[in-house]
Amino acid sequence: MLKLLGVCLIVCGCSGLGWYAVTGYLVRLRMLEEAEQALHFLYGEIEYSGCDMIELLDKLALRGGYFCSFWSGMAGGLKGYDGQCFFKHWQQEIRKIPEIRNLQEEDLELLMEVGENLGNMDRYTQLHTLEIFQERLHIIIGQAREEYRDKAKVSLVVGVTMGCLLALALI
Amino acid sequence: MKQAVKEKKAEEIYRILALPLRKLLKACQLDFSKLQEVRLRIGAPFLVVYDGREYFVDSRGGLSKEDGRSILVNREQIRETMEYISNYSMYAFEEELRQGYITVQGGHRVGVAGKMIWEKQGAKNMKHISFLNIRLAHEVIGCANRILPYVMQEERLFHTLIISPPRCGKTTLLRDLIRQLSDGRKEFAGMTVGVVDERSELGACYLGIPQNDLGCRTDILDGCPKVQGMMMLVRSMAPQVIAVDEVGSREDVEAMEYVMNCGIYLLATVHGNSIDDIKNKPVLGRLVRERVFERYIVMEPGMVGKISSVFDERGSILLSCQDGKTLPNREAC
Repeated sequence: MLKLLGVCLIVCGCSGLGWYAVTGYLVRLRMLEEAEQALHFLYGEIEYSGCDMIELLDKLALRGGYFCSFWSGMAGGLKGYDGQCFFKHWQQEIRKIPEIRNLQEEDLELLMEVGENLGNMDRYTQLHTLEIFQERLHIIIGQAREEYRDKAKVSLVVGVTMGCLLALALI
Repeated sequence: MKQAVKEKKAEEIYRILALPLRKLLKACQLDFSKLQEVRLRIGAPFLVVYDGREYFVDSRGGLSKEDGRSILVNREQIRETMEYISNYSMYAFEEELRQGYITVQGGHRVGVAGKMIWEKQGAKNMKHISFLNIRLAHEVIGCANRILPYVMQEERLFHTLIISPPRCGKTTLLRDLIRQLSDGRKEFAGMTVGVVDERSELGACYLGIPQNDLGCRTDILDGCPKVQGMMMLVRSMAPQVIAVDEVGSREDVEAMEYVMNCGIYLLATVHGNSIDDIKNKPVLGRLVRERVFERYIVMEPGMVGKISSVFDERGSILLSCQDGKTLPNREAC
């Protein structure tokens, strides 16, 4: 009876690890999609309403999602007029996003570059720069989708299989 | 000025200054109702115009008349100040930069100068911004009390032109006039006033809400060019009065004539020292000669907020105040 309970625990634990990996891929994908929507929103608002960054960040924060705390933190930080530049605030706030560990190096690099190039340009250059980031992000999202399709099943199957094998080996 | 208003104004100015400059200005403990200008130039002393006089801000946070003790403003401080002025959004202020100024929260106007980028159509943008002049807007409630009987008689408002050199308080006077006409008084009922606030100086709208009191019957078109704004107000808001600041171009004059021909009273301001100055202006002069305006309020050059005289459409003096003396047969200020 005790052995059976142990086997169950090992199989469930390993499957859970597999599922955790799957969730990580999914969260990354969702975060990237949310970032893409935010870039679209920024592009549209800069082009048509000419809102300033603080107003835009406040509006983005209202949309919720994984980046909600980031946008509101940014807006709050900027409103402090504390001597730090926009990018410094961006760097600080991005590290505070709870799910940031799910993003890969290249995702973070792109997000940092976005922060480095926001607000300090004329309108035309700003919109053009955002377009470039949108294209790059779109490619990354395509890759992330494929990665999710490929790795999600594998991770789950490997998790369950490893659990079973471990249980057999321990018995 | 109430303490709360002073503190609000101080906060509005502090927040747009680079941190080191902000600390110095805070240490000066200025009365913000007397502060008129803050001037920043790269490599030049940190200057303020306070109570009508120019002072250097010294490195210990005091005001001095000797430039030797003043700190020099550097490029980084100008860049930081510009970041705050533009709310970290230079792209949002392109049009303003083309015109050479940005209006910040509170209606304060920041004049900017640097390297202009020109193309065939005119100014395209400005780069290497190196000179800033922060001009504080002062809301003086009741400053139009004196002239109100001259521009409003028996429920009838006169088409009025306020003539003043820069920095003499014409916008402040117009703002209070709008407020009083809009709210109404014992002698007359409030009127619906439409304001075309091209530079956001009159209402100082922030997120669409006026920061200055322009009265309860006032509609504001914020950031809208005067010509289009006047037409839009006539068509959409059915105003009894339209108020505009700093008119002068041919298009402005045509739009003003259109407004007056629609049966709407007009309040406007223009740069100048006297009615003769306005008469000599190529386009606006015609309106003066044709006696389109019925009242002229002339501000005293070099004196902030002092009304020099009020004229009627024929150029006859209705009110005169010169060096505090009363002119014969005229009412004293």
